Amino acid sequence: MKYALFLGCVIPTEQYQYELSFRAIAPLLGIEVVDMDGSSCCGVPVKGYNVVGWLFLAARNMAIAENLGLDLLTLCNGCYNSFVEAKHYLETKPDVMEKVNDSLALEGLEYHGSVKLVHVLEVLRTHIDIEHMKDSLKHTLDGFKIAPHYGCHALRPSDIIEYVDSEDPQIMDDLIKALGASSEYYPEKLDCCGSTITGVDYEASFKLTGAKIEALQKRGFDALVTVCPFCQKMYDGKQEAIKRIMKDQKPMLPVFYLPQLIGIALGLDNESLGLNFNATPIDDFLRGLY
Amino acid sequence: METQHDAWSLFYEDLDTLFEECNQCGKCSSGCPAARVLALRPRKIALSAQRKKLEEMISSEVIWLCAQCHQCLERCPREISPYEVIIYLQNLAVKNGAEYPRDLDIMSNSLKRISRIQEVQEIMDKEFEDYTRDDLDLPELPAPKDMGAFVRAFRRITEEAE
Repeated sequence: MKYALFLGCVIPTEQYQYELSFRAIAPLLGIEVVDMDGSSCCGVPVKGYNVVGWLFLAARNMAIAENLGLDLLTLCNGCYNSFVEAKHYLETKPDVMEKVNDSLALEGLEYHGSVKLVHVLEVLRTHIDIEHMKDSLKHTLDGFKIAPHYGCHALRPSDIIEYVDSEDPQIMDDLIKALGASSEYYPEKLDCCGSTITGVDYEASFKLTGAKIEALQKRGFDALVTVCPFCQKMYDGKQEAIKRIMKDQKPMLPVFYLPQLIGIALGLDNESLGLNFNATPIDDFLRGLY
Repeated sequence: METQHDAWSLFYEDLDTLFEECNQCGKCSSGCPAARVLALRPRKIALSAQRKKLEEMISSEVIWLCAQCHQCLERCPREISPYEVIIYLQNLAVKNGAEYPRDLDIMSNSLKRISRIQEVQEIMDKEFEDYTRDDLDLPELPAPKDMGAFVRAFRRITEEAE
């Protein structure tokens, strides 16, 4: 199946390992992607600054996907949230939609409200046969206990997100288990990574990130898996600094993007999955593969 | 103080009545990650709104401590969304010249220049090698076909709202 791939700002300008690994596994799973020519920022960074500017940017990208006639696939939780909420508000406020379209017309665009939004978890779940995935793996992840971190915006607001149970999500747990690894409920599962408050108070945000890492290690998890560049930047990119500040002596917890983990199990090489960009040490994990 | 805001009509018709339904149960604050480590209390935001202390709220740095996690609105038994009110207050603060994080200006200026919040970065891997998209054979980053028209459209809608 073919999707319009929306990358946002953070993934294609710095989190190359997410884009690389998704593009690497997609064809193996029957996922075809079309890059969205003309696309821009999703709008979410200016939500608190100028809410109409947010809606304009969100509608602009949704209009481009509508023109392609494809479902809009987002890899970033922030972008997904932007589109999900903007679509909902524009549906309920035709006067604002008209205003947004007046400005979109300057670029020859029009948003109709018909776009279908799909989260990367939903797409992976659609294209992976949970029961039989193990048969097509080069390395099954038997023996590893892996924690899913969904991230807030993959799940909430629950009244307008339909693909997942927001209070008891299982979709990522199922994908992890399909690779042969085990996963289990942990009380911190829905906790926020703290990324949004790094700009205001980084030490406070580090406490939130660090508390979850500490809990996961106490509960015996071997790795953490994310689907959002903001969450990954906290758990992977900042983990060393967080452990130093929190005086946590334990070795670092490996953190992967979900497509990287799937790619490892499918036997793709480290380079094509961008594993050289992960900041946490992953060599021991890779050596433990069957 | 100017409170009529085009943007706000998106969310609520009337802030004054919005929080009348709130009985201060505190479920929002108990679920708030920012409340675990910082001074933000969504329940107090609701209380201040009930008491119509708009001016005080927009000049408080507390409204910038929100992690935007959406837990408060999920937990509210009366279906009120402190999160959206915080976003509203942030918009009002910017509009009325109150203090706000300068990151927002940086991102907004970048948007008006290149349609994204940041340029393609050189990223160093574990072997201390620098990479950009080109080095990794990633396709060219999409951008508006006519950047001038994009900037005009973005300016028009944001400045109209101001």
